[in-house]
Amino acid sequence: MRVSPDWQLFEWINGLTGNNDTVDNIIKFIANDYFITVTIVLILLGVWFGARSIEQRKRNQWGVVWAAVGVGFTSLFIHILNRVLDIDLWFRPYDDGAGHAVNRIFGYAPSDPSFPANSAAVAFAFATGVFMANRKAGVVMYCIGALWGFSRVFSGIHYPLDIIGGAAIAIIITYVMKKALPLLEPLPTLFLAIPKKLHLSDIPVDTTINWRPVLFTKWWQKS
Amino acid sequence: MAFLLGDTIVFNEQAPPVGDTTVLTILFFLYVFGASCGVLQLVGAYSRMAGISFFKRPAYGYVFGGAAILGMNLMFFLSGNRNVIEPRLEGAQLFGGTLAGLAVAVAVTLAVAHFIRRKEISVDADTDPVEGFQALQKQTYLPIIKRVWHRLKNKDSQV
Repeated sequence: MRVSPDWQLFEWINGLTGNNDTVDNIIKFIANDYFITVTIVLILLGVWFGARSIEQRKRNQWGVVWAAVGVGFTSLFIHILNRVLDIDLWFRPYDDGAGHAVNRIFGYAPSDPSFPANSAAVAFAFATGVFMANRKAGVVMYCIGALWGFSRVFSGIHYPLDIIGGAAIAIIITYVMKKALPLLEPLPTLFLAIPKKLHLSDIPVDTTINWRPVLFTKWWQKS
Repeated sequence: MAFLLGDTIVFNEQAPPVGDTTVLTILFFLYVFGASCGVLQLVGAYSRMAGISFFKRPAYGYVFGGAAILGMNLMFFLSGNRNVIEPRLEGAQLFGGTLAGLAVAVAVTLAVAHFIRRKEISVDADTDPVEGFQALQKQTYLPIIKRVWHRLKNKDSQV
């Protein structure tokens, strides 16, 4: 039997199930794939459109762009980690697979390795992108992500390390991608020009697009 | 099936699932669509955006928005047990349903706001040079998009 701080923490949190039916039912409501996902998306929609000043709205919209880029690259990284490198990290808390008893409060069929947790990665990537533009909304989203992560451990779907790993990967990748976004030109300008033209965005876009990729230009200048 | 009883949520695990994945996908789309319409009314009332608000008075926007979000959550979670292995939406289905729900909600909100408030907000689109989303503060969307269309047409004819 695996006895690690991760497992001990899992055992403690997962051991809280069954004490109170109301708490179990609320956690079930939070831990499923739909409620928090939609809540996060609705917050992003509100952040994109909802500001009283144009300056705040521009900052908010940049936050949503950084969040979307962060989620995209985090998902890509996790996909590579899970599928291409084929690392044996399948230690989802199964009753039979992990060699210890787990309290499952609802049915869940895993489709990929539990580390890093996709749910935590997505929630924390969105939260990090928004946090860099709007602290209040970002903190709310971090809290929602943490609550989702806790509920997934409580329900016996993830180990705490899965959640922490997913969150850490998401925060780092989103922060790095925010800094690296200008290197991806002209792709960001192309994507941002569409909502700008349709009056659905306030982000200033220079539509005189330099079609030569920035990375190529830098390499050309060096050589 | 889940029932809200006072402050207690009771799930009936024996309740049959809603149906197959297609039905769940449609319900999820409606959930995102309805809740997004609610959020757009909330932000329209908060940021005083006439072009996305159905109501002149912000208070009505807050009430409508809150009711739409609550109603769509109740519709989705009371219509079946969502904590089951089958039917369940995978990542790509969740992503597609979410994106479609958001896009349709934005389009419907802009169109409905125009048809409800077009007489009340009658700014001449040609004389208002405001760019971006900010233009919706004093106009509805269709005159704005007409202006964009005419500009593009004029550009083409000049070329």
